[in-house]
Amino acid sequence: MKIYVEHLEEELGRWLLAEYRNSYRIAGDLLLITGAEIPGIPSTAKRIHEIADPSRLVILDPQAEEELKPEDLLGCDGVVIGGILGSHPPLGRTKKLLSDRLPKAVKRNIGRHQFSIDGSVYIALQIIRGKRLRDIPFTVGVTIKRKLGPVEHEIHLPYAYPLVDGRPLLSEELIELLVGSSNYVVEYHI
Amino acid sequence: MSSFVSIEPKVSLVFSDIKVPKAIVDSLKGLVDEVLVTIDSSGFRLTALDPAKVSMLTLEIPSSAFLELRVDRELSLGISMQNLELTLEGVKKNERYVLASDGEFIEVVIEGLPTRRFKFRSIELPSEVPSIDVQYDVDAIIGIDPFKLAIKDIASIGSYALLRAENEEALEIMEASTKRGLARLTRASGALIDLRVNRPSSCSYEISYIEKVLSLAKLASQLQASFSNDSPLRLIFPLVMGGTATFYLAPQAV
Repeated sequence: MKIYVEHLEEELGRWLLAEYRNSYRIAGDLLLITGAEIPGIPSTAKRIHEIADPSRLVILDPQAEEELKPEDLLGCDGVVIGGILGSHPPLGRTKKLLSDRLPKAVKRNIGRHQFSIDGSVYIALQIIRGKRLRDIPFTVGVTIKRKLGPVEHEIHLPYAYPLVDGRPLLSEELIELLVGSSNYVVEYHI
Repeated sequence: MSSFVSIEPKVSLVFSDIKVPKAIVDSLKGLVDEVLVTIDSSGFRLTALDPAKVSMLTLEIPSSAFLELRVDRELSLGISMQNLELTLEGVKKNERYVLASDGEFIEVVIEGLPTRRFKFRSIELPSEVPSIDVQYDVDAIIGIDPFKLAIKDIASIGSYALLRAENEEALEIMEASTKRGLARLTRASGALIDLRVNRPSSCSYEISYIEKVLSLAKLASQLQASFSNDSPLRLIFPLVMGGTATFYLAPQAV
């Protein structure tokens, strides 16, 4: 079983890289990034359909009708996640760029919310391990707050994040990218 | 108005394009410490005076030039340039710039991915704007690009630009002390749109100030330059979206 992240953005920006690196931290060698070769991360320039049989794949697509269950993964080779930096509101790019191009693949959702890439990898891994989606807590919308001298600064991330040990799964690398090394507070709702 | 604004604003506005606040701030960066902004139902006015009182920028943008402008009551706000610069760090061209205030606090929301919110206090600034009452002997309407090019060339060889008009044929711009880098803007070249000369005049100005304010050129297609002997330079940028920016710069003896 593999967790594939099919790189679908034109550019490989720092944000995307931070999510890909964190995906590797989460899934280890179960992870393979396809469509882009990235030093330090298991990855290949080949596209997903060039290295796997689409009929043995499950694509995570927010527009899929059915929810992902552990039994969906029996007899399948891997879960595919779109390597997309989401838009707000979502533009349905996973369907357009991934699901529609691989009609033989099974499509499943992990809820109606737009999860981060590393968050999706975390959820896929939990379901591979037999957990039910309903047993994986998550939050929608995270605010990172800090003080910059006399200025209150907030960054609002509109995506969904799984809660790990009660905290949203956000990599230190991404936070560093967004707010540097200054003191910050992460706010979210459970 | 942005749903991310946390105060109960008395005024709020959304710029039509993020390049507008960016060009304004770029033109003032390093020149002034704070700006005075007045927002009322007719629109947005900004006044900025550098600490040495060598230059002043006034900018007026009518309400129609904003995507949204809501005013419960007129407010005058003192805004630190440092804070304004912070709000524009890393902005992208498709993001929206929202400014709101309740009079005590100012909030700027950059709507994008991710959305950022900045909140800071309005600072006390004198609301009296110095009046500059000068009769100009030379009035020129110039294409932005030829003027920018002339200023850039002169900046590479000196610190002061001399503007000279002997007659209504040409506006000449050159490095003030050596008279090198001469740019002769004429109607025939297309660089000069109009020139009125009441009296032959020439005057020198510190070029770094002019270079800075030319960041506003992104918002205009032409500019009006006015000067006289030993008088401040006045540059008026008619903004493409509506409104004007007017820049005054004290003369320099070279």
